[in-house]
Amino acid sequence: MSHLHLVDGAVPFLWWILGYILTIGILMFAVTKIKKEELSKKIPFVGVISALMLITMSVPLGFLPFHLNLTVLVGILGGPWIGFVAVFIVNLILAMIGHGGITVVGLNTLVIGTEVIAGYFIFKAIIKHIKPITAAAVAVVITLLISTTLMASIVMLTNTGLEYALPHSEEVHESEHDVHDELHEHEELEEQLADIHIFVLSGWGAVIAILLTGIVLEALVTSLIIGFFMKVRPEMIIGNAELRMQN
Amino acid sequence: MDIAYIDQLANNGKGYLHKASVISKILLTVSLMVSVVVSNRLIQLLFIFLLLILLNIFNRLPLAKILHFAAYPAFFSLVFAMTRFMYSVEAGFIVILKAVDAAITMILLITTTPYPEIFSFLRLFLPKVVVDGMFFTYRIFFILLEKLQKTLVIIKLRGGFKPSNLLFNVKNLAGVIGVLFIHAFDMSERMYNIYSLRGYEGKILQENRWYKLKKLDYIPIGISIMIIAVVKIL
Repeated sequence: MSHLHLVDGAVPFLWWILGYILTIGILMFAVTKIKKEELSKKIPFVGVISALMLITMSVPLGFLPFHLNLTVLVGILGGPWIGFVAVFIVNLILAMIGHGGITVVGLNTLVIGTEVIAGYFIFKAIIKHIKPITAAAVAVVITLLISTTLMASIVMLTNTGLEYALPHSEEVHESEHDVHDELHEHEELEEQLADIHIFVLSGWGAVIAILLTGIVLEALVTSLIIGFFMKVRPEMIIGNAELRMQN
Repeated sequence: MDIAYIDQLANNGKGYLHKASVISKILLTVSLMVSVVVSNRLIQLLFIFLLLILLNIFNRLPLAKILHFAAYPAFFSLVFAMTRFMYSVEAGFIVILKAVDAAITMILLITTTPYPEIFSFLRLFLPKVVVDGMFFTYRIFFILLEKLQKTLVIIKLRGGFKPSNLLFNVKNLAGVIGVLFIHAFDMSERMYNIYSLRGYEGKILQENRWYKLKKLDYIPIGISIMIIAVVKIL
């Protein structure tokens, strides 16, 4: 849900190049972490995970302008490194169809990849103490707060308006314009925030409402799916976590 | 997302770009993207937009549908553009056109080039796991999409979807996604077994002639040079 819906040209050259360099570095690390002997078996699995992410993103949720990412679920089921590779593939394919810019694929992968990696490790750490369904919900909430903070940091650092990076909100596009002083930019941000309306809320209230709704929805769906797995294929949740704990 | 429709256009299209090699089309895409990123004047971006429209028409692509795809980034850049309109009309249109031009450029590439050819090109830069993962994603996506669509129809027919009841929908949707995940994991196992029988050892054999230049390549290569030159002049 923390997808950076930025278009091409929105983020300065240096930042999106840095995003790509970091992402390629983590990708290389992820590939070395996937055991060599398992690699041939894992590649079809990467394809499955990526296809599932693409498909869940296209599932309508009634009147709400959200789509699910299920990144934490992907981390739990596939592990952090396979999950990260899958996130990169998904972002690249989405960029090809105009859903997010091709230049921000690196930054998008860093933000969403963080959800996969953090989600997996948080779930693994707390599943020993609480039920899997609750553990999944907690992992999703913490993970999305982390990734949202990361997203906000990227947006702030690259001088892009926060409100435009929100899920299915408006996007920011940077271009060469007059240089405004800091105070003016702050006032402009406040004005832009005031334009956001969700039901009776507006401004920062609407921003927080959007974030909270997204987090609650993602946590709810992930927990329900984990609950479903615990009924029909518990080994996919418990087995996966235990197996990786030994490694 | 219309990945299935885009795939159909890429594979069955009859335009001259469909007949050109992936190398020349990538060169054209890179030229267009660089031009979009460096352009800061309305006239430059308008030129790129008109050129893209002409390229779509000459390649017999459904212009209305392509513009519909491009409406997505246009919509998301609109409110930011509104704030720029306060400074100047040109600044506002620059924002929108940059987003639209970049999106149409990428869409032109994928509606004239089958995914496997693009993935083969990406193999030059990306790890094997990533590119092979893309191939599998491409193959599995359509199978799972059909499965999901059928399941959603069944859910709706049996009264499992109510537009106004979010909690009810989310609960049922979780079940649908859960079933889809299990089906997908089983499929990945079956797929691995089948590929192993065929001699798969962790590398998918790619189309080995994808990089060969073709007769019609002079058109995209010529356009690429022309774009850079015109944008520079403008």
